[in-house]
Amino acid sequence: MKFGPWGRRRREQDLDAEIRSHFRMAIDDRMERGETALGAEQAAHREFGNVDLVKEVARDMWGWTLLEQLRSDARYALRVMLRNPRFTIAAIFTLALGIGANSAIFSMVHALILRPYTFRDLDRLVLVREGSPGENAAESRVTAGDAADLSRELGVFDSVAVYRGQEVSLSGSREVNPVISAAVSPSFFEMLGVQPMLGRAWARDEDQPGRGQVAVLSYALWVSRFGGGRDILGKTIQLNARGYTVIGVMPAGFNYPVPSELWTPLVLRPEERSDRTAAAFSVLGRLQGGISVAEAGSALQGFSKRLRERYPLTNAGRSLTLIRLREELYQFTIPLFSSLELAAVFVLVLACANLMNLLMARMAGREKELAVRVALGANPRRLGQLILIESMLLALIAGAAALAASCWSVTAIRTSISEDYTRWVPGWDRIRVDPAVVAFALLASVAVGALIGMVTAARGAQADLNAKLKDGDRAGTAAGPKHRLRNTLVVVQMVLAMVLLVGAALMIQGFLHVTDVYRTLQPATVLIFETPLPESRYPDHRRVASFYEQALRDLRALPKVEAVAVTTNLPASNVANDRQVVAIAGRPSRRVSELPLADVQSVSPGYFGALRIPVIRGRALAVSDSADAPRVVVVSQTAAGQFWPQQDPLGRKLKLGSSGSAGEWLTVVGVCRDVKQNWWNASPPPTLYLPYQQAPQRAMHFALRVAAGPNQYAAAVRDVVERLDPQLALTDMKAYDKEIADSLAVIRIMGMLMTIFGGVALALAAVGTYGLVAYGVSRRTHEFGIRVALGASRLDVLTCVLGEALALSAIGAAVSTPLSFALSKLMDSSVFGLVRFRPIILMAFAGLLVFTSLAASFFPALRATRVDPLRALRHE
Amino acid sequence: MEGRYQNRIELLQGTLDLLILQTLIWGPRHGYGITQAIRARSGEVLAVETGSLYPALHRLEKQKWITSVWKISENKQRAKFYRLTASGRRQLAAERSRWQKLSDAMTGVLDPGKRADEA
Repeated sequence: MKFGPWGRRRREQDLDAEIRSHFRMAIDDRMERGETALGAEQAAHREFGNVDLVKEVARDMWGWTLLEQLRSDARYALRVMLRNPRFTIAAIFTLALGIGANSAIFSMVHALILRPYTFRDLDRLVLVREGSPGENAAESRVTAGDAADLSRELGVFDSVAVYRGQEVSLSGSREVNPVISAAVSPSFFEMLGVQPMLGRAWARDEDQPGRGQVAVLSYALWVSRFGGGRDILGKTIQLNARGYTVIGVMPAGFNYPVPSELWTPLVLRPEERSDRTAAAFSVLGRLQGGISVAEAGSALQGFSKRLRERYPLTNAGRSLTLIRLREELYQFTIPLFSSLELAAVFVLVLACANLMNLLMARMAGREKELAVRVALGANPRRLGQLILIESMLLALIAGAAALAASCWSVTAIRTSISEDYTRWVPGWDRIRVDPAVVAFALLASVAVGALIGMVTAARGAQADLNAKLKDGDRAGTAAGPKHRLRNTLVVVQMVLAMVLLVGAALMIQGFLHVTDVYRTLQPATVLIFETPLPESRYPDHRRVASFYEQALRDLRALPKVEAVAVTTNLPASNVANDRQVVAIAGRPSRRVSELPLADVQSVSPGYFGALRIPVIRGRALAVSDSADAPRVVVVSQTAAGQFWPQQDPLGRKLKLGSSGSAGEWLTVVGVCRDVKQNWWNASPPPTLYLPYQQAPQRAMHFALRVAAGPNQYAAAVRDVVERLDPQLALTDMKAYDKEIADSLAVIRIMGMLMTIFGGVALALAAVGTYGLVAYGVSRRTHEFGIRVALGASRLDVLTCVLGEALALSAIGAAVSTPLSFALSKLMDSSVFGLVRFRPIILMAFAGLLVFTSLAASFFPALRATRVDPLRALRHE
Repeated sequence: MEGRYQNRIELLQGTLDLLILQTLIWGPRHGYGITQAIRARSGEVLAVETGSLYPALHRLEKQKWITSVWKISENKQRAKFYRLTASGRRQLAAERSRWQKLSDAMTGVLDPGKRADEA
């Protein structure tokens, strides 16, 4: 009814008073009739009967409110838990492991995959990409002309914004610093739902030529470079040696496209605006309400078709596709996170199975007590409710413990990769125990508690308590449905543990494999850095090439420098190469969309030597392959095999673009060994290496091969570059092995987490086996007594117990082997060929599983051998 | 076996409720007064167990057939008095007629001749 706990207390006092007044009246009556005070009191009490029982029944009449029941049950459950601290700690620890694993992984998934940005309606923001089928989708940008058409026609979008990332040099009073910036269209900030915290973004007409000399700063840049003063607005800063007026500062944390520090208006000349040849722009769209990504995707297909019909020359074979903004940078990591999430769920299931087994074992021990309680009138439903409350309470405490541990583990994950690298990872900084993670942990705890409680209570309710009461605890052989369930639970634990271990092993193997691949580059003695050349001072190919030529010469002249090279993209940069269609001389000209694709890099002659990439046929590029010399190219093994199967590639000709395009034919002069570009490239793509003098690029990466200690060369390198061009910025200088380690960090972390999960899983399975066997032995004391009395040797008893554990683990191994096999196939296809399946791994883990379960059951088995037949038989 | 046991409980409970409601028709009484009244009126045959009385009183109160109030009794003691409510009166009427039917039916079964005469 409507009394809360306070109403209940008042009623309690009321009932006491009522019963007291009843006594007084009864005693008064009797004394009036002449009885003595003592006699009257005793008689009244006799007449009244059991006072507590009366109260109890009257209380039941009031009915219990749900809250009161919960309170009293929780109090009872707490008492039970405190009475048995070892069990309680084991249970909480087990569950906390499971819940903690899940909340830690969830905090990563939430921060990186679900909410990498804090933009308004993130799920309605999509990135439009353009390309021919088969092209490297992650990098395919949109041409200005197509983007302009899209903005005009809109269709499924509320609005469309265009941007282009770029690196600019920001001149300070003394030095020049590179700044990662983005040129963005006027709708950009509004679409993301982020406004400057200071000043304004640009007006509609500030993207016209001659008007766009304005800039918006990131919070970090404002504070670090300009002291964070409000007087920054209206000041002029020098970008690429041109003056820009600061008109706004963005709020802290905003750095899209990551890791931008500065934004300028995207200013295009009319002829650039209508260009449909250079895919250089990123296009963001905000979907109209109610339009799904799939619907928008098919609308875009129609749009692409219209473009193809309208501009067959440029748009043949190209189409526009969509990807959710939040998935842009995580296409390759989503499978990794999914397997990790799955692993975490496995650990939780294992923990649950363990706890159910513990609870059932304990309940089995209390069967007689429970039977007596039920016989004395306890409500069996209420007993089930108690079990449920107890497991809920355990799960909630475990959830709190898991959250506390997560605060630590999540910070450890967040700080395990250097910030140089993680600033490129949107959302990484928000891998924290935030309200969403707390809510998740709470939900997981409640679900786990309810599941465990209900299953255990249901098992308890099934038990035939009457039978228990009658024949005592003598039915001590290992048969019966309850044992079957507990055996099944242990087998399930073993299977999960083994699958997890195999998964962890495969992940680690993949990591080691990639590390090995990159070790052939001998990165420990290479210093890398980047020098983006501003367009304002390096407007043409000649000036770009001559800068790199001088820089290479001067750097090579430094003492103890063995080799030096430049390239547009270093292996393990986590950036994909430019990919272009290739026409091969002597092949009938086909449609553009049917031409093969190849990764294209510009490199200096010393590149192959500096990174220890063997040239296996012909020659490497040479200094003589200058701008005026005949056009040449070195191709990778895969490219050679793919373009000229079973033929000698040397001397063959190919060109970038379709055969009808204006490009020049390049002669193949050499073939080099394949290089793994990034960890997610399952197989090396065909790659073309062009001499940088013939195909210069403004942003090249240097690689300096030294005798030892690459970092010691930093100052000398800076001096060299400053002598050549004091205005030039030098970025991302570090030892190459550090760069490779950072680029593989995500796999390393996954591998470590999987290993931890696998280890925890194996430990849980071992505990589960131990518990099962120990319980079995204690129940079968009587049986073993008889066996020994009848002449069984201790060895017989030992083998009898161990045999059962062996059988269980054999079943576990048998079930998990095909599962692990399937898992490794799955990982092989989803984790980009990192994983090499080897049967030996499976056999090793099957062996480990059997060994662990035997080890776990050894001590209980030993106990079984020490059964004294006389004591065991008398025990009844 | 269990079922029959429960029927008996219910019957007794129903009877006790009827007796309590009937006792209260002449004015408010406290618990002790109710036991005394039932004992006196039944010629000392029916002794209401306090173990049943108080739960029954609380049950009837929960059904809103009676209400309670603390008052000073005739012997100058604080006691909880129970009073019949309007719905309690209606309930009493219903219980009485049901009891009457039961009683008639019992008589008919136990003494068929007499019942036939009446009909």
